[in-house]
Amino acid sequence: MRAKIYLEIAKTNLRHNFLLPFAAAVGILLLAGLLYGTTALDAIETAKPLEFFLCFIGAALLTPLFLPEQDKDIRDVVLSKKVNYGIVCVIRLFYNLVALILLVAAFGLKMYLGECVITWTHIWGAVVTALFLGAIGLFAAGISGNVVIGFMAVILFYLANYGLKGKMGVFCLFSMSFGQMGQKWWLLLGAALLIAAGTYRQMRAK
Amino acid sequence: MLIVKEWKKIVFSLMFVLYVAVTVAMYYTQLGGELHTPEPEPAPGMSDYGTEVKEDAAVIMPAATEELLREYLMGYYVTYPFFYKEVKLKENDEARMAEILGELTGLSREELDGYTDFRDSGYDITSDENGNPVYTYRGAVYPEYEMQPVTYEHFRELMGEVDGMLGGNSSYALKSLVNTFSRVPKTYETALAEYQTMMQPANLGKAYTRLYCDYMGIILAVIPVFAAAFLWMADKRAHMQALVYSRKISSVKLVCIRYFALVSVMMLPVVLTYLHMIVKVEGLYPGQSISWLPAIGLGLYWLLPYVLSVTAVAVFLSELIGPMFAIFVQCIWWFLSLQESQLVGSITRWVLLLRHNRLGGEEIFARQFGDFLWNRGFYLVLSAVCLMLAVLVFDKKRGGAFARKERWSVACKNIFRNRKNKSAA
Repeated sequence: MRAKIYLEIAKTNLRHNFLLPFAAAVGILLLAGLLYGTTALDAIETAKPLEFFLCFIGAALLTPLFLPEQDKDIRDVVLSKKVNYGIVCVIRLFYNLVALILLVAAFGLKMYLGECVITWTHIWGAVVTALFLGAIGLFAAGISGNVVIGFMAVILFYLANYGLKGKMGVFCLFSMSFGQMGQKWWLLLGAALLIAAGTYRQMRAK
Repeated sequence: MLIVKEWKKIVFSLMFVLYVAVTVAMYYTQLGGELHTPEPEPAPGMSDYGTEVKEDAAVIMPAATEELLREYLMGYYVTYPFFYKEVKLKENDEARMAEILGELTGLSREELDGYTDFRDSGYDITSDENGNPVYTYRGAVYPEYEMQPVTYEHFRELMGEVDGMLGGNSSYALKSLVNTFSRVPKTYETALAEYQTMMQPANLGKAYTRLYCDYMGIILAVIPVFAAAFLWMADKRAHMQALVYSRKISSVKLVCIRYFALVSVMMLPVVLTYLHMIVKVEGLYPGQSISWLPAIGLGLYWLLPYVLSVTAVAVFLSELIGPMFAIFVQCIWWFLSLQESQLVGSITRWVLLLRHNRLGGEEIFARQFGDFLWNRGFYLVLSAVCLMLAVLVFDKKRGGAFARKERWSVACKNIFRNRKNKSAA
């Protein structure tokens, strides 16, 4: 019975809240194919489109996670339901995460077919980078109660990474492009904390 | 007054607080170092005076030839129409390209196409004993060749032809040939002359203004879209749109007042940080006469079009489709522009982001001044056009035009739903 309710929530959210962010993410993916060469790249060159551009897929999918509840009327309705709002957020998070992995994997497959040097580490690194950037947006949107602030935080964090390059330490988005792989675990940990904190704040917001 | 209400609404919003924080942080982190010490005069006997772009045929010809050979062997050529693009040539153009390379290197098409050992420079990936990836740099491998005796004039003709075959905007275009392939070490005399030019009263203020605009432009080319989207959403969240539509005020007046309020408030931290820079620069060069008026004019003509055009595009797209779409478009545009722009010397007629990331470089900027004037003028016109379109869309919405479209969309959905129900029955 409970599974049926969750499935219904997922279906409704997919129909109303998923298509536009997904279309934006697909747009970013197609643009990445146009902007970057995807043939015969070495390991470092392969990492560049994955880290420098595909990370925006995470921002497109995760930042607007709380967008429907920005409308106070919808928020009141959602909070009045028996199903916990946190579960609704987890369901949304789940299908967006699946979409993120599939989109990054699709681009990875294109690079593989183009005879680029691409390993599972690249795919893992790209997914975690996109997840972390998305988590920044989600956190900022959750804290401020405004998705626009979330997107602004994404751009500012990206810009800080772009300008400061190696000085971002373990939270550098472009570490694979600089030849380091290990610190993606920090991004994963950071993403988990940011998502948890942002969702908690959103649930508690009045 | 409506404008005062709008100003208050923006200034007391979280968005404006963030905008001010970002502007001030950008100013301090990027320009702060330059404002601590005056620009040192070059001393004789230094090991490095930096590089300069100099039209030296002996440097340009071998460098451009090697790059053309590399791209031929790769099988594609990179151009920058508005962004990075890989061009693959048709057979007859490829044959002509081989002929040109033959004229420059002495290699025949058979030698070029039959060369199988080509390897581009890059990194190899291996694993260490713990399974962690290890990257090793390897240099490029080309066929052996010698530059053929070609005059510089003829070389330029060939490069013009190459650029034409690639559809323009390649590194071989005559306008970018020198800038791309002829960076030579600066001599003491050149460095000193450049320093003395910069220190002239008419130039010193402009030099600091250019650097200020270079850094601040990076954020002004994107952040205004968030402010515009934030205000648009604030109306929607407070369910104010229907109320706004029903007011007596004309659409032109309402949209223009809101637009002007946004632009003027967003220029406020820019003006204040710029004034702070003037005070700091005056303190760095006591006794030095600095003419600030032309510098202020330059700064205004450089930065104002960013705020005007990004805000106008954001207002128009938010009104037409929605604020999320406006953010998406502006972020992509900004990103492409950021990728396309080099730190110095990449001012073109159309690019959004203008870069001049050095204190000196008076002669480089002077060379591109025509394109600079054109570029900023274009963005001013774009702002006016987008603002007019925003007024038009807003006015149509007030008349219910887009509501009718929504009703039509609902009607279509109902038709399909009815058909499904009938077929199920």
